[in-house]
Amino acid sequence: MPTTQTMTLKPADEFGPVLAGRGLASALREEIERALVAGHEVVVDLADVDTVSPSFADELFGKLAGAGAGLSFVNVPPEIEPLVRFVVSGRQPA
Amino acid sequence: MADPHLYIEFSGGFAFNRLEQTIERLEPLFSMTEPAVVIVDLTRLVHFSPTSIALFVATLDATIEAGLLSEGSAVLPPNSPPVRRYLERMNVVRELTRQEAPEDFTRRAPVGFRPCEHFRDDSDYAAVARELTDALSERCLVTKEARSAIRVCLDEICENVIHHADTPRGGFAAAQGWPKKGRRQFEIGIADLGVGIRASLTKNPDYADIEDDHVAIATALLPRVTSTPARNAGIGLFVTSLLLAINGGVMLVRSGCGPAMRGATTSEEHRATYLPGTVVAVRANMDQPLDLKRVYAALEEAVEKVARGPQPRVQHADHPDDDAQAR
Repeated sequence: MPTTQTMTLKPADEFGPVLAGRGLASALREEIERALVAGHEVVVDLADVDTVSPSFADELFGKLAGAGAGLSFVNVPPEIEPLVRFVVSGRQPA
Repeated sequence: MADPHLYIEFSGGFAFNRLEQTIERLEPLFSMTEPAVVIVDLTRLVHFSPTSIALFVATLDATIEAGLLSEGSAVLPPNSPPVRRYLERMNVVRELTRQEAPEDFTRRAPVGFRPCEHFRDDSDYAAVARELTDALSERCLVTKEARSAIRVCLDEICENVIHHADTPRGGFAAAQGWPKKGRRQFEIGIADLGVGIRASLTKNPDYADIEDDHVAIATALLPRVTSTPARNAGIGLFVTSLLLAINGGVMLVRSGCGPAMRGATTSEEHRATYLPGTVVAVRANMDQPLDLKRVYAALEEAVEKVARGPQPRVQHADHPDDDAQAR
């Protein structure tokens, strides 16, 4: 029986507590998408993140909103939850 | 036939609220189409704000790159030694002469000081945003929340240059903090000589009918407005303006013939001098909150309020008062 690998990403470890920039988020998003296409599950752990920029949020959360059950975000700081909801709703079809 | 001569003088102070005077002095360079011997006289310069520096360097850079400076062109340095050293530290010398400034004073640069920086791509601007945030944090001893907010604002404004200015020269960013007790403030200035906001925004068919620079700027400052909706969300500048409204600071956006202020002051006017490209300047109070948590929490409500309010319109000022505008 094939096993599903789980990839865990913890952006704060590599990029610090402030995640800013569409370029950075785009690179993360592409890494996530490659893993999902390969059949892996992906967990993005936002522990130790203080805040994210609007562009980062839109690129990561907004553009991955329809990625499906294989992707999950954990330890999302409560401070950014309204922003996440906002960018996700902005990417919904009218 | 000898090349024409162009003499431009910067005399006195060019603070945040005198950006328009900086633009007027630089206007002859904006409209150059043929090489000329250009003399820029800074001998009687007293003060250059970070925003004026960023625009000054961006303009000279574009003029140099276009091959418009004939032999004999020169920038006459300030007579005042502190002003001269300040401009050298801000990399004005390096950018204009394409030479590194003397090494001795760069080693003596004070804590919290960073020069005016040039950025041309995603990795450049990210590094510039980090550096200037570090500088302001060192100089003004900011809280963790304020530091995050500064970083986010710098990132968003610089990213706009890379994504929308459509110029291979990118942009220039400068920042300075004034840590004096009782009126701790900082200023960030980011300038590019790209296509300008109206030309960028009207690439989106939803905004193709916009004919005025001031309407274009006012529209661009609304949430979810962008020339490239597939790639961008269009909320970076809106978030910055909300941050400054709470802080009591201001953001000035100048492009074409339009300036717009947001934050503690909201205004839009028409200016006679055409600025190719875009300048975004932020002036904030370090003794007041820079609170992204509060801004994000209020984002949905703020957007609904904007949607219920009046749409961007033009206000023409016959005799604009710079001091009143900046207050």
